[in-house]
Amino acid sequence: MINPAPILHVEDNEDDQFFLKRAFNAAGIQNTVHIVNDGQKAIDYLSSQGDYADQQQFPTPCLVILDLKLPKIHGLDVLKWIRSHKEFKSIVVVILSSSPLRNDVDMAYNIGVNSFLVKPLSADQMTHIGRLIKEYWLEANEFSSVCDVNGPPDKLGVRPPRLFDGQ
Amino acid sequence: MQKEMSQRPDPERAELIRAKADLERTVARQSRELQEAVEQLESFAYSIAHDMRAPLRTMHQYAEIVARDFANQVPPEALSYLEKIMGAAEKLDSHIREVLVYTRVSQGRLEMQPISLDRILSEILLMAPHLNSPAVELTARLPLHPVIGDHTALTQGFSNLLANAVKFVPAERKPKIEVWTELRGENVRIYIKDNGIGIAANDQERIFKLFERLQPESTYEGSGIGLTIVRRAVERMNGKLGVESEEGKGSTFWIELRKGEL
Repeated sequence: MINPAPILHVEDNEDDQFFLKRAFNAAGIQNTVHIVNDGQKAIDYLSSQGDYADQQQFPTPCLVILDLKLPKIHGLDVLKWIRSHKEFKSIVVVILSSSPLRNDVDMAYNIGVNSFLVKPLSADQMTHIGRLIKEYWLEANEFSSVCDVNGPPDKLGVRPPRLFDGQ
Repeated sequence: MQKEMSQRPDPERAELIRAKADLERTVARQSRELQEAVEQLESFAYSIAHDMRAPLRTMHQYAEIVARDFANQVPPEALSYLEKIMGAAEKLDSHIREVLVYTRVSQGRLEMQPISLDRILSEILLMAPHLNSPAVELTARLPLHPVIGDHTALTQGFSNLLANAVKFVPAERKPKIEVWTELRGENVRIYIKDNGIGIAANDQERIFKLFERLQPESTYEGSGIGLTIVRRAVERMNGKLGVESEEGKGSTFWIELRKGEL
């Protein structure tokens, strides 16, 4: 069963935002995708600050798709922030970067990224990535309870949002 | 008498020693500055190449999206032009990737250690299955002698030579490649022999230079950077690189490195 929690796409390039959206549509991904266009907004979203204070509207995502070259805060620093907060430690983070710089890849895995993907040249390959994300991360993979929409909030530092109140 | 002379200060000699030390310092400083300038230039090339890929990706994907998602609304002639845009973007992207490989080979930290060439060869064949296909006759005289080298640089150099050995063969001829090693004193020479188009004697120097091409791109695709990558990789491992070839009769490229013991 597909986890219904939203996906957070951290990407400043509008074209790349569009390409991933198109790939997700082609793959049939129905999760809400929230887009933020800099590293600070990604942290604001996750910590429910500023424009993202409403947890009903902006619930904890099950998956973060993270670019590296981001305005304000670099993607690797966003990743460090995520992994240094116990309530987000187990969120699945997939980097989608424009280049596989050896140092970046190694650092990302050292910090604790779950997967490192490189933005492809062609739209067909992008659609393929959309399908892979759906089949592996959203369908085959088990998420931790941090992004379980009806999961037990008590032991966690944050209260998981209740998307389906009354169910 | 001699003792007296040696005790007396010799101003000329002292001046010479000072001048020598000055000269050494100047040369060291200039070498360092040159090295830094080269590194900065390579790092600049890397970031330019890297940043160029993003708009290229955008061009390719939009052309592709128009061709796929609006195929019914676009006349066939226009579709063929979109395919040309995509083809050009793919070609440029492939060239940029090669420049990135070149700068990586130039800049990456090397870890020189004994390396099994048998293992490197099998890794290359796994990564480039077309070298291992029935369309190519590859003979390796195993075991290849181990060498001292850097795993990444050697893999890059070796695989580029193998790729060339398959590429520069007339379409009607089945590529035949032979790989062997030969002990030469403290060194090992790795040979890669092909049955390709060969290189005329007066062109053999040119082929290792950046972006040099002897063949039109319409006949043999590529950017002309492959052999420069090999040269750079070999230079950085303090090795030697050479070619023996005759036009029309194939080529034998070789890399010479210190022998290793595993």
